[in-house]
Amino acid sequence: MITILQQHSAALLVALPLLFAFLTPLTAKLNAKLSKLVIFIGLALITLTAAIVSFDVFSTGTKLYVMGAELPSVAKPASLTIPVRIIFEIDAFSAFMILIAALIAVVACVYSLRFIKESTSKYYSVFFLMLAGMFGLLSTGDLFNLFVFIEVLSLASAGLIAFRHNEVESVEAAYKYLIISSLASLMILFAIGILYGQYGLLNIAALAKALRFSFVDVVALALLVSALAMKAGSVPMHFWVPDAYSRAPAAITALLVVASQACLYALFRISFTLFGAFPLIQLIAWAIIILGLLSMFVGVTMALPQKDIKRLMAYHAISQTGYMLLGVGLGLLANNSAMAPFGLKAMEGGIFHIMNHAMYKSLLFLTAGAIIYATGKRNLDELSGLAKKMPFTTIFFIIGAAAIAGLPPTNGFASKLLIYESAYMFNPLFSIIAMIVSVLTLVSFVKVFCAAFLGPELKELADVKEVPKSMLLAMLLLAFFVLLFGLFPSFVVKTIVEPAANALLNQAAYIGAVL
Amino acid sequence: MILAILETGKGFWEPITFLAFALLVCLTVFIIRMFGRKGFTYSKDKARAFFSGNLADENSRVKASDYFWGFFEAMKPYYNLIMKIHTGIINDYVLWFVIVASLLLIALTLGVFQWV
Repeated sequence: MITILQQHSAALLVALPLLFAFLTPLTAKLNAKLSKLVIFIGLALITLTAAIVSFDVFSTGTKLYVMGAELPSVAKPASLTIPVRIIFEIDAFSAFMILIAALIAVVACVYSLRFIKESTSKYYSVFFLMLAGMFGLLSTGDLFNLFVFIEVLSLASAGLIAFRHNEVESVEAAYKYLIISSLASLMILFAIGILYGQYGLLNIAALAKALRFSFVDVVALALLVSALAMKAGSVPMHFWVPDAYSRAPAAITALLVVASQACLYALFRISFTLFGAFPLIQLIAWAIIILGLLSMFVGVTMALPQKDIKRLMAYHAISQTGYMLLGVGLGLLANNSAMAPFGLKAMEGGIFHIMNHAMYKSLLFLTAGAIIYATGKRNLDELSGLAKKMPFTTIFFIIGAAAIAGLPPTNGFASKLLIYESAYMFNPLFSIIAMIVSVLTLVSFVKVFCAAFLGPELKELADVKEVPKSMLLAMLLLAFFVLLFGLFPSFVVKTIVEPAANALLNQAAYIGAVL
Repeated sequence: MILAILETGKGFWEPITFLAFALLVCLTVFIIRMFGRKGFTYSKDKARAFFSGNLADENSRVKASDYFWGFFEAMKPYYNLIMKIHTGIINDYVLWFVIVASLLLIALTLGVFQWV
């Protein structure tokens, strides 16, 4: 059983969420309790599969899975020179992202137990569909499937953003998200069409080897980079983020953070693996760095005046995406140059920040969700003195806020320190901007803390109580990882971050696994 | 390996030492606190909060929108510009994508012609 699971784990990573997305509403029709059991079995199996895939990749190297082949690890039949089947190629960077997605999925599911009270079967059905899109996007080695999984992810995300369809703002946010996602998907499809038209290939590894970098290829690259940067929520294409993140249910907002990071993964995969040998890749590196700096600054300055607690946090999510873009952009800029060691450190910082951001940002969104759940209010002006009423939520908020502001000894400090120091070697201005943004982030969260948790208790909030245990458990889990990764950053960096950064840099290994 | 120092390129970070130092500071604070007046009893009156010399009630709190007004005043030109850009209109969202994609394409095209 375990051997079969191990052998087919890459395919199961997408097949299982799809199966349970179908089973959940079906069993709900028969019996509500059975449906809950199915949801738990599904989540447990998916998490186990994700763990097996990641463990396999980190211990034995890149994992290849070819759909429909006699042996799943054989990329192409002997009679052919190019791979033609659907191929999943999971290297250390993909495995790293899969781990993050699996962790946040578990937390989101636990949090949703009491948080979501109505239409639970529909909710979990689309939730599993979202996971299928996310895992597929992170596993695929094929450009067309990349497009398909982005579509699956986007449609499921839009459905969950509009989950509270009786609130007009939720429907509006979902509509905007859908338009933006459709535009991005269309541009991605157009770029894939350009490449397929020229080379007759869809496999990323085969295409990376065949690319001649003609003018038309450059058009495809520009479309892919701008569309994926928009899906990742980079400034100045970030406008959909505050709408979508603030109106989705809190657990889904946490998953949306990971969904945006999955698009960031696709952006890095295109830049490093598909166009890694492009002689003008430094131009793309500069574009990523500029988008990163803009995202950092505009995100945090827009967060400061916000009064809606989730909207404020959404702008911070944009700002933190900037750190990841800056770190990995510097790695791309320094690739194969004298600055390569600092570039690698910057990349490690950027990639470590992806993981840390997923944890502390999800934690913060869950605390915001807890406040809204307990008080029914999201406007900070209408909140005060919650620390006495919700002591555990307050502690989790402090941990999350400290991490996002980069205070030691949280995980946010460790990854930001890697970015500050390596960015300084390229240009001190990058580090200065990054540090100013961190200070402004702290300032912003001090405002939230003082306004919502401190101050006198309000009469209309007299009956407010701490949120249910399942919601606290989800927040506790994330807070634990925030502190654990902050206290032992070296272990995390050596075990999973460094292999992920090396996998992203090693284009030849990615191509060699298929061809 | 678990307790290893995180190499940051030009420096390093050792959180366990930091934590040990933080605990030492806490211990020092606790020892100083022990020298405080004995026999202090907590009562609600002693812990009353004051706001500008007046007893704080729910009307005298600082609302979130009142925080950092000086910062926003100083940054007014920047905020006037940045708020104007955030229209909430989907057409504008798409326009920004077109602008970024065009700029990227122009930069890459110029680069390609220079390279060729």
